[in-house]
Amino acid sequence: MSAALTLAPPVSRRLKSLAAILILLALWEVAARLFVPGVNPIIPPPSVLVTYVARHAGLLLISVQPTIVAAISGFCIGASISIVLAVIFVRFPTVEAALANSVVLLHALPMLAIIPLLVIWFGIGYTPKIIIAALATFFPVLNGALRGLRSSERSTLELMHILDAHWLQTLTKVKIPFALPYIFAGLKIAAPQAVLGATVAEWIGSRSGLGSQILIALLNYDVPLLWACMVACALLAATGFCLILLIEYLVIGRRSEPLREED
Amino acid sequence: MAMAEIGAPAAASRSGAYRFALRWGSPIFVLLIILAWQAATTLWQIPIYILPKPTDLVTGFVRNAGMLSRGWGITVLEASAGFIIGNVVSIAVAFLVTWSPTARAGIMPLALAIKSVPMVAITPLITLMVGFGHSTVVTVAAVVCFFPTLVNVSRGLKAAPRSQVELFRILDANPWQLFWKLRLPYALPYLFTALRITAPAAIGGTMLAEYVASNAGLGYLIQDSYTQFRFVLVWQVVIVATLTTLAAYLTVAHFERRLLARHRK
Repeated sequence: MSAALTLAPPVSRRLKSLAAILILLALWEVAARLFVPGVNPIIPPPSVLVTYVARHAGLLLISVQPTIVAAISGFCIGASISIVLAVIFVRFPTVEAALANSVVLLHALPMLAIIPLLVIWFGIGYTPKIIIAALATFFPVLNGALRGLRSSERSTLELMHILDAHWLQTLTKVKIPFALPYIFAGLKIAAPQAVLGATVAEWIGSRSGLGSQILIALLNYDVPLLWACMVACALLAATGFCLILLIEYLVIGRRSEPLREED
Repeated sequence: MAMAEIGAPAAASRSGAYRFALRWGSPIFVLLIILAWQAATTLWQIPIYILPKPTDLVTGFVRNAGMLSRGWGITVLEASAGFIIGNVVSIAVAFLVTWSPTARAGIMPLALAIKSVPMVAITPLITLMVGFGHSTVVTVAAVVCFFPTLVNVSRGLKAAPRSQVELFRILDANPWQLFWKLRLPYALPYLFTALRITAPAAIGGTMLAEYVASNAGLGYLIQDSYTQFRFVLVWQVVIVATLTTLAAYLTVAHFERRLLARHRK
């Protein structure tokens, strides 16, 4: 009985938000049909979109696949580099001091601007996309990992010191376990960013993928395709986020506090 | 653009080497890179389309100064307009959302849903709705600014501790005093966090939109120079854009430090 009582609120809330979404979709359908008439309206009703996606599922799948590959490889590369760099920074503060401002400068590089350069160097294909996705992943994860590696309990660190532990032992036994929630918080910010980076890179540096499909849709004034690509892009970003959430749950068994927007 | 953690333990470790590295590390690093770049391009005679020499870039600056400054001016104007519009609207919505639970229930889920759609996907759609040109670019920049500010400011408006709010109530403060003397000072750091995120983001969004939906500005210049194989110009735009982004961030950070310092007094 008490279990049912405690379970009741989330279920009803979930039902409520589901109802809200359905109402919103219905409103959109009606409003689009009433106010945005025409053969190829800028805001098509959801039913048109659904039938479009059903009819063109093959095209969408073909264009989504390269983006997924680029985003995942870039994400893994960027995350590994930034975690290793964070460990180096925490072990050797002088290195961090020397590189700190350069890293911030690198962060100020506009993604859009370096894509043409990457295309000149590596040609059209996967390499520019992966590098951009890795760059987009790099900063949130570095930030989370640095904060996490510095968040170990002082008493535990002192204990390791008294026990004459090697710094590698301290790292693997204390610092990394303490850092995990922060690293995952960084990864959760980074996963959608990697999708975004890969898609932008495809605008310029690719003939395949969601990004180039978006541009093609825009240039051909293919509004349903544009909407479908937009939804696919959002779904990819959300899936990346949820995947990290799942891995986090498997690794540390609970959800961490999300890093705030400013981190 | 919020590297809060990098270089953070400055106060903790005060060794001479550390302070020297923090002060001079980056200038030396950048200088070394430029020297190595110049040496490598001269030594191996790397073609200009792969990697132009730094000296080429500098001499080319004079030749391309007109194009670059025109593009820069347009981008800065559009980004500023978007930054101001986006932030003002967003702050207004944050107030609405904080004071009316109904508005919160209606607006926040929608806002979060839109926020999760990457800008790359929204920009073409805005282009179709608003049309080719400056208004699209400003709209994109405003949309980019909207969400970080909404999230941060609506959090900031609730940041004042309960005990102090109750103290104000006991002292019979009117709502205006409560806001001006208590809620606003507590919300300011959150607002500035948002501004620090959105100032560089506005420039990024502007360039993104210019790339697809405009025929002026730095974003357009990237596209134009790249398709014309004017690689020196591409490099110069990269440099100008990076410095502008950095300057936007530093400007906001500067105001933040000054204003918050005054408020603490």
